[in-house]
Amino acid sequence: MITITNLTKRFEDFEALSKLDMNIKKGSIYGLVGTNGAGKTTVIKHVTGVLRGDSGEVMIDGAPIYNNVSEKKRIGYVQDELYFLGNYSFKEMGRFYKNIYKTFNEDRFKEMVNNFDLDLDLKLSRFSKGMQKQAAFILTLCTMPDYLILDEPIDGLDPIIRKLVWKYIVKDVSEREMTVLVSSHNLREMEDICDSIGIISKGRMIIERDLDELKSDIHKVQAAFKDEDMEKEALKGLKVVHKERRGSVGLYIIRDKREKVEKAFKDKKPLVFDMLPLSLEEIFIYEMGGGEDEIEAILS
Amino acid sequence: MKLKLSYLSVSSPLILENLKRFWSLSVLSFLGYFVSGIIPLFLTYDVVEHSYQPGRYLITSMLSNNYFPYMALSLIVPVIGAVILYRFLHNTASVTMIHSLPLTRAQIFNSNFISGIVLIFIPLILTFLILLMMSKPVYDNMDLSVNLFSRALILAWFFKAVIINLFVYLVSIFSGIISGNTAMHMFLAFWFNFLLPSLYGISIAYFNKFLLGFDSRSQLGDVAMSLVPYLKAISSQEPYSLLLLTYYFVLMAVILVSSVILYHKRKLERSGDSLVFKASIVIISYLIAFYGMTATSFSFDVVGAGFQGFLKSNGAFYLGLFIGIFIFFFIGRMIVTKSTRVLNKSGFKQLLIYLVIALLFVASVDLDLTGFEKRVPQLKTIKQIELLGFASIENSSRYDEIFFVEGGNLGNYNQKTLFTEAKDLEKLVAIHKSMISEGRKSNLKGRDYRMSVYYEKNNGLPLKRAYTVSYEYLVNSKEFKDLYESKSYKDLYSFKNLLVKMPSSIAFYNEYLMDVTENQYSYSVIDNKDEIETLMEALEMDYQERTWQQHLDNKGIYGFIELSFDSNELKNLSKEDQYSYVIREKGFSVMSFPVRKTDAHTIKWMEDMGYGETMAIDPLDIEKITIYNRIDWEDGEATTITDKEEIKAFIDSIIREPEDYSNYKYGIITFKQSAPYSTKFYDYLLHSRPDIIDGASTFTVDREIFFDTGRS
Repeated sequence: MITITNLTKRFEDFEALSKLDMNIKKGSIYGLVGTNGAGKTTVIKHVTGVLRGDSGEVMIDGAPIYNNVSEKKRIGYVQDELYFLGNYSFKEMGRFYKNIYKTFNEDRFKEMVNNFDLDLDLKLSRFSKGMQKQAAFILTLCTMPDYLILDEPIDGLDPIIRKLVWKYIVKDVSEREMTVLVSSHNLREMEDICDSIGIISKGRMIIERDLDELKSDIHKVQAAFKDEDMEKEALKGLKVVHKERRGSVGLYIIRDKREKVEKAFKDKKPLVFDMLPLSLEEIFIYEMGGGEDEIEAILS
Repeated sequence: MKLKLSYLSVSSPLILENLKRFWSLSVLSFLGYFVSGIIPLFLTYDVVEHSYQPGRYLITSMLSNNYFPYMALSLIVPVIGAVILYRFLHNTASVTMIHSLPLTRAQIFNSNFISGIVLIFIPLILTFLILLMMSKPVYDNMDLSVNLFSRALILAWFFKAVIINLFVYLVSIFSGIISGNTAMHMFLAFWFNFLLPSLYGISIAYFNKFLLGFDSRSQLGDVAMSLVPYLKAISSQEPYSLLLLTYYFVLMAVILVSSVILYHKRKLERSGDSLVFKASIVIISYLIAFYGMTATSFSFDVVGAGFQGFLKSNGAFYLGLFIGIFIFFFIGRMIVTKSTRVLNKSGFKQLLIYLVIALLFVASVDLDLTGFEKRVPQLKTIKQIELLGFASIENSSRYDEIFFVEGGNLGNYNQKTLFTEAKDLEKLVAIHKSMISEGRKSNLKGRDYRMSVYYEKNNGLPLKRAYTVSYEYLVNSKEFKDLYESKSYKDLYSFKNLLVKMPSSIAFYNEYLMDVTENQYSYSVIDNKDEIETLMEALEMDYQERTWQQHLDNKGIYGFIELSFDSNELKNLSKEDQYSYVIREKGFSVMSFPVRKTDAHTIKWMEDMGYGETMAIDPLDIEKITIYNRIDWEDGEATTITDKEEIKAFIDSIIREPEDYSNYKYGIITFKQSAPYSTKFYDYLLHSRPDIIDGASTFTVDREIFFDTGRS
């Protein structure tokens, strides 16, 4: 489990992180979402033990991560801005990782290199940006990390490779209970893969939710009644998150059991009744009250 | 213990990786040593024992750390090593990647440090081993007991080279730790290796300019060059002293520990900036401003010296100082902040702070806030005093200490006068106080003299001062007169104290009469023992009776004496003195000095013995004297003197040096056909101040080649 408590980091006069809290459950995939400059990479560099916060704590399984070799051994990190030792071929870089990480899985390395169809003998500097990213994924996943930290991992990858990458990640999560922290500036990309989402803006954690919990028991209902009293009667006893009218039709976002919502509406014989699916963006917008600029920016 | 071990731990995979990545540095370095040193040595190896073989000079310069390619490698290789090994700190991607690996910062630092040591020292060790294998007896031409290519000398070279390389490497690592990018790392690595000596040199320049009595010559050479092992090795062939070694090791330990601490404190997010620590940003920008203001202020000072009034009296210096501060402070800020936007509130605030510091520094030196100028030790605290420059006023070798018993330091040809008796110390302190009262004469013309007073106090501490004093001051100084005419001083340079008691021959001549075709003076030489003894007695009596004013007299030179000493006399000397004499004899076996017209005993001896004509110019032999004005280094109108009385007055009032070199007169003498020198060309150096010449305050006759056109 990764726990960040009250983390603050200043770069000169600029406060990059401000009393940030974050909790990542073991074996989960956590999506850290925010606009460019929100502080995602800074958070990740703290989690990987690269940076030291001005105040607050960054713990992995209860141990501080900074300068802690035994914990850092368990972390695999694919950084946004890739770096390979100068003039090294993919094979040489693999050998370096093998020397550094005792857990390096050579069989998996061979298998992944084969599956991703990369040239082992080619210098990494000759790889395209996307190929370099694949190489970084392979090297990192072959260290068999307990914690995989991915900073903007999708950039530069084509859909097929993306799928292949996620396949390996999901496999490790399910088989080895690997914990994943993945950052993105696009919430839609995170929707299908993440268990939890944290939205960060201007160095502050805006909202942090478990997606299952977030998605369950929240409903978008379109309904029209004969009169307003019937509508009031139907909504009585329901947790209405958001309500708006579009002509005679009302749009309701309700957090409650599906059966209870259906029964409450149908009992009042609505002229129109429809339950619609909610996207992750809509959930966040309604959760935040629908007016948060940061959320709008992320979803736009 | 665990904490200590964690600070010493390394990552062997990282070291191996570094060695795999950067092995070419070692190879190139070794090739440098091999091609520039070993191969040329191989080529002359069979004949290297023979005198004047180039290989001998190669060996000597290599093993004394004066061989340019080796010294260049000692500077460049460690700098490059540090730059490539710590380059990962200067790029966001690499710093992130390396620090996300399961390694502590101590492991990363130590592993890179050790990698560099291996890469730098392997070529050095290989070169050392090859030289050891090549070593064989190659004896010094000058001293056959010295083997120039001994294993001991090779070991000494290696030891020095290790210290030099290690020092440069550590300084370069420190530079890398505080730098944010590779360009700044490289710049600081070279600069910081010479930072201490350069700052010391600059401080000396300020002290020298403002502090009356500051003795730069005695301190610059020794201390500045010793501050870093690299410069010390270039400046001196001697092994590092124990004290110096201790200083170097302490300094290296401080640099290493500082680097480790700063590396742990380094904010990795600042990679890419010029400098990563706030304090280093301030310090480096201040240092750049300090160098810049020094350059401009001293340049302006030189230019200002040609003006009058404000500019001449330090005005130009301060004008340059302010201009330098403004220009170079902001240039420095641009460099350290990697931005041209430096004319902002923060920049001006820092400028104000620097301005205050700079002015405090310069003003404290200019106003002598420490009381440096007035400091004179109390008599009871003084163990001994040396007065340098006093004996050399005469500008001859008469007072050269090497000719005298207990002459002192070999190789130190500064004439000095050392006193320990209370009554003499009192005289020396009075002289020192008198020179302080005389103050700084900023516009000395003509002759001036540098006098240094070196105290050694009872507590062992030295105090050194040096003053430039005018001829006029010296002539009128009661304190100098007291010292010169004292028995202590006269005893010091009495002929009774000569190392070799009697010269083997004595020559005398008039330096104004020179046979140009044969390029030599017209000498008279005596080697008769009785004549030598009686002449030596006469010379000694004149020396003992000579007054301070006679000693300083600028005119009235009768002629010159040369005493030649024979090394056969060595048998009467102690072994130590014999050795000293052999060394000295190579260049200093002849003592030469003037005979004054007031040296009555010597002149009488000359005339009695019939040598007077050799020394004197007879005015009756002179046909004419042509006199030229020389104003501001240009020759003016000529005047010709033919009247016998005027010629006699001219000859009698010859002076040796003009008092103002920008405004004086000189003459050329034409001899009559019947004169004894009639078939010769003559070169005359005549100086005079005859009353008959109007215009310039000083009259001199400069050395000119004269051709008597009256003859063919």
